[in-house]
Amino acid sequence: MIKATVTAIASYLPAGRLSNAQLADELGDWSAERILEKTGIATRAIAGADECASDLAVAAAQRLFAGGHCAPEDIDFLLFCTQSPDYFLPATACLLQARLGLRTDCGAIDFNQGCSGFVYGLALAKSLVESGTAARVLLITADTYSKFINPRDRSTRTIFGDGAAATLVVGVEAESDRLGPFVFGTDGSGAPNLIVPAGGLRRPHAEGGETPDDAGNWRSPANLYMNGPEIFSFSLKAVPLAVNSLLRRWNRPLEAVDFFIFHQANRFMLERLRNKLKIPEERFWIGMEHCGNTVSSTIPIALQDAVGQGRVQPGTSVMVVGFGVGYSWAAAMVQVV
Amino acid sequence: MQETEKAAFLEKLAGALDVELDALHDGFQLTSENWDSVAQLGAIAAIDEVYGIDVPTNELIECTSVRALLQLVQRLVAEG
Repeated sequence: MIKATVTAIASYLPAGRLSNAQLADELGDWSAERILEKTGIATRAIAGADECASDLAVAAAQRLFAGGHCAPEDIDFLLFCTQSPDYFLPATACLLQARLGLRTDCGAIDFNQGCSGFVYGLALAKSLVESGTAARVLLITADTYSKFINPRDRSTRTIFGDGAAATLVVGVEAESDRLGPFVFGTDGSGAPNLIVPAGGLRRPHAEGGETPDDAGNWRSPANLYMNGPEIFSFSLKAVPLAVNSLLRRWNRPLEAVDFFIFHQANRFMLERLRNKLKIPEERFWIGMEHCGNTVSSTIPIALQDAVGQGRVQPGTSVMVVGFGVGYSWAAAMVQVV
Repeated sequence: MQETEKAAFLEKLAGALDVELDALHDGFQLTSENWDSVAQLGAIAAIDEVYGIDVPTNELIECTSVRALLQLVQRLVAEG
């Protein structure tokens, strides 16, 4: 049977960097060491002023093609996940088709998800491949949250970085699933807790300008707002439920999972989730120190790094879990080849 | 509230507030200086870990002293 399989991942981080020393200088009340201790992040990759999600996406995809896994003309379908598209319209995926030299009979769509986006993309890719709609799917995740962030908002500026990942999903002959099962979750009542309130059609203009919150973080309605305690609370509830739901669907215990890669939100959250789920440290990835929270790209970047460092071996079962903005969450099993 | 649980919670809360455990008496004031979002995350994590309960964040951030925080936890534990 044809089974959808992840056969290659490539990533790209923009050249700009924002270090903890810079943040400590600019924000004043936190030291570089305290930022690292609390977030697990030493430096964030930041896109240039003229560098958009599509530019990061092209760079990641070109690295994937340069790896020899396939050529642009082999791609049957492009799935592009971003929350920072180049334009309202057209879809950034259409621009990417032209820039990457994909065939004109290649399908191409954007989908708007954040931290859960990669897992959603894997599910969409699996459906396309195993239904016979496409033989090779290119899933690209790319975001430039830094463009939404107010320079005087330490609550978001310390966490998020920009980045992209390109993941190749192809159909191969196999006895058992290489992707899945999946579980999903949505709770839109949490939307106000991680949001850019203005700039869309509901609220086109950022009236009122920049104002400080109680903690002294400044932002305008056009900036990213994150209610950290609410997001943390949500994650502590939703992620263990999703993990246990996936284990039931997979019909195996937690001990049968070879490795866990959760959305790399920040070290504090990941350590609490690991402790709560009683996952051994050696089977759990924490690794956003060099790039920050890159939203939809944290999981593929982590998977690429974990394989590259030998923490994940071919033939093993990896649980991936994305969770955050929406609220939206998704979890899946991935067989590494 | 069990004393052992309270002791474990206060130890974690001291870490979240970056203060010595000895300084964390019931009357310890939670102010805009020390009760920032990072400290609140630490408190949420400590409550989750020690008591295994969710705490409504709107009530948590309104606490102005350790005493108020302990009373909130006590109420939530009693409510199950």
